[in-house]
Amino acid sequence: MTLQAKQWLYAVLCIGFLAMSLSVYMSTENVDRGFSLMSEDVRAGKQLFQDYNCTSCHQIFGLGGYMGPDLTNCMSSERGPKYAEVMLRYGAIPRMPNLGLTDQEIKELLAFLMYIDKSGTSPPVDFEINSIGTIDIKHYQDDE
Amino acid sequence: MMNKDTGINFLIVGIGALIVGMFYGCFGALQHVYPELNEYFSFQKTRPLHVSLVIAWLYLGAIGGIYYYLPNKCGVPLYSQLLAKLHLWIFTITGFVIIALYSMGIFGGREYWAFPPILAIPIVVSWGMFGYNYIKTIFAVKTPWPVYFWMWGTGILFFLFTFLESYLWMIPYFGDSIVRDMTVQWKSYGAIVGTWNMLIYGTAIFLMEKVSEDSGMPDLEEAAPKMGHSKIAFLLFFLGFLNLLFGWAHHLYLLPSAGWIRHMGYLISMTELLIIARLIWQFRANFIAGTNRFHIMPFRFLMAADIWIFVNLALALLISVPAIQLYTHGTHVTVAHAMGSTIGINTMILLASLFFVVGDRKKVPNNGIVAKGFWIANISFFVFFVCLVAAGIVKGFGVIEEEQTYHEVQASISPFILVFAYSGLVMFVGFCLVLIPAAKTLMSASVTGVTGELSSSAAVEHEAIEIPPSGSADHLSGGKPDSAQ
Repeated sequence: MTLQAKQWLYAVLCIGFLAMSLSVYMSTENVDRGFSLMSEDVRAGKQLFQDYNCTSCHQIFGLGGYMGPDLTNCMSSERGPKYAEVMLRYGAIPRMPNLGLTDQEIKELLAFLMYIDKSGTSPPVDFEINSIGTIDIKHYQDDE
Repeated sequence: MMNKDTGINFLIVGIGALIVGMFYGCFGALQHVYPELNEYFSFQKTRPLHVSLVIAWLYLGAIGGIYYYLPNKCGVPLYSQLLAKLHLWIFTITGFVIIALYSMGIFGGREYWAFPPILAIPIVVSWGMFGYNYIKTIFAVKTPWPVYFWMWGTGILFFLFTFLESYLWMIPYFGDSIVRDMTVQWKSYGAIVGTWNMLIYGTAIFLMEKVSEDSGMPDLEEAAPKMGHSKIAFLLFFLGFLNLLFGWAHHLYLLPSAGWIRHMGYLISMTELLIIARLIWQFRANFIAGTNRFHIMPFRFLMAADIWIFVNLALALLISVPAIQLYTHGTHVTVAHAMGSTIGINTMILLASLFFVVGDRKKVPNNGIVAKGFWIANISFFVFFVCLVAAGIVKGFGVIEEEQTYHEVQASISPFILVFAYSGLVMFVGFCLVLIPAAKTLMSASVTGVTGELSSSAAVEHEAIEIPPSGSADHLSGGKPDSAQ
């Protein structure tokens, strides 16, 4: 392979990468659902989730730490919002610290958790495994 | 103690980051076994300390090698020693600020970069200095460049892009829809892993070339300068590049992102691992055929990396099948994969690089404390790895098949987590036996020979330097010569 060929290949890959990145940024599948559910409380709750580094112990869509449970669908689970509120208010020593959250902060974090709950399902409960090893996951109740 | 050579100082800071990062890793593992430890220092702080410090090690170790090798082993003086020193100081001071903030429970960022976003600025600025210095340095070298020059440059360039990309969440267009936000977040993180792989795999090829040069075996020594120009080395580079650019999609199978995103890329990362394994394996076969074995420690660590590539490759292949990942995503199998890559492959290559540098200053006996540390670290890492895989499988089936609750899962995996935590402690001891003597040697040895000193004003006189031309390296790399550049 000549130097020029290497340079061309490098350039083609870079252009391909930029094109793919733009496609990812502009992809709309299930994205509008997120925008329509976003509110000021949710936005504030999302920032609090980062400020308290909740990801250290909890997962969203399976991404995050394993000290605590996956929170993606905690609001629609059997225990529901009341349990989540108690956890946020008092903690669950020793695993979950009492973060000393204000009422407003608890409200915002609950709003964020509710938002996440409506954004999809994790871990999947309604799925189909195809013969080639791929999976179809039903994330929303209103999916066709 | 500060050394004159910036590359060595990077390595010393990197060793410090690894030791402290592993300490927090051990503490974090014990917190899973003994949650009451959270009352003394919460896991909310332990995890980012561990993650950020060990990622810092991967970069510092690779950067230190590049700063050291260019002037001392490639005969290419750095364009600006001042920029290199500034890079070191900005990185180190920013690192200390991040550690202090984490320890005080001040966050604000995301996974990997949990620190307040404002601290990304000094990282970007110092990285820009690194990139500028690197480009100005290697552009003084006549082409054709060896493949590791391409790999290091690509790792540097794309880190900047992907690091900035990982902060797109701050723009409402990205941050206000969780699906787009998480898709872009894991796109950037996947590519960031690709950037450190690019820097470290480049170092691996560089080491194979240089270790062969001093092997005492005529065939190897003759072919060594051509290894970095071989066709297979460039194939590896382009596959790795492809992986960096497109191979991140397997993180997102279970996210409700677009279908085409979810099904892109995993084959690319698999082929990359296969090629590098072939390269190292071929190198081993040739090396073992000889009787004189110089640089025995770098050789050992490269061989360990080779074995871990195969182990990790098998696991990576499995969990890249969506139907299998359904059971392993969000479980300890994913952690095993991450640990297999960062400890088994990346750290072993960086330790080979470290001992190559140490070997310039002091002969490391092949049956001393470092060798014992090598075996302790690798054997305990094997136990650690197996426990993570076992815990992940139990958790995956418990959650998906039996719909177990969080507490039920915790109870069923606790025996594995117990062994995992203690094997982690033993591994920490093993790595300390390896790292502390290396750090002592680097800190105590005075620098002799070329140090890369070249002032900015002298840079204009920085004439083109010619490095050995390419040629046949078939018997080393298994590839055809790539001499037609």
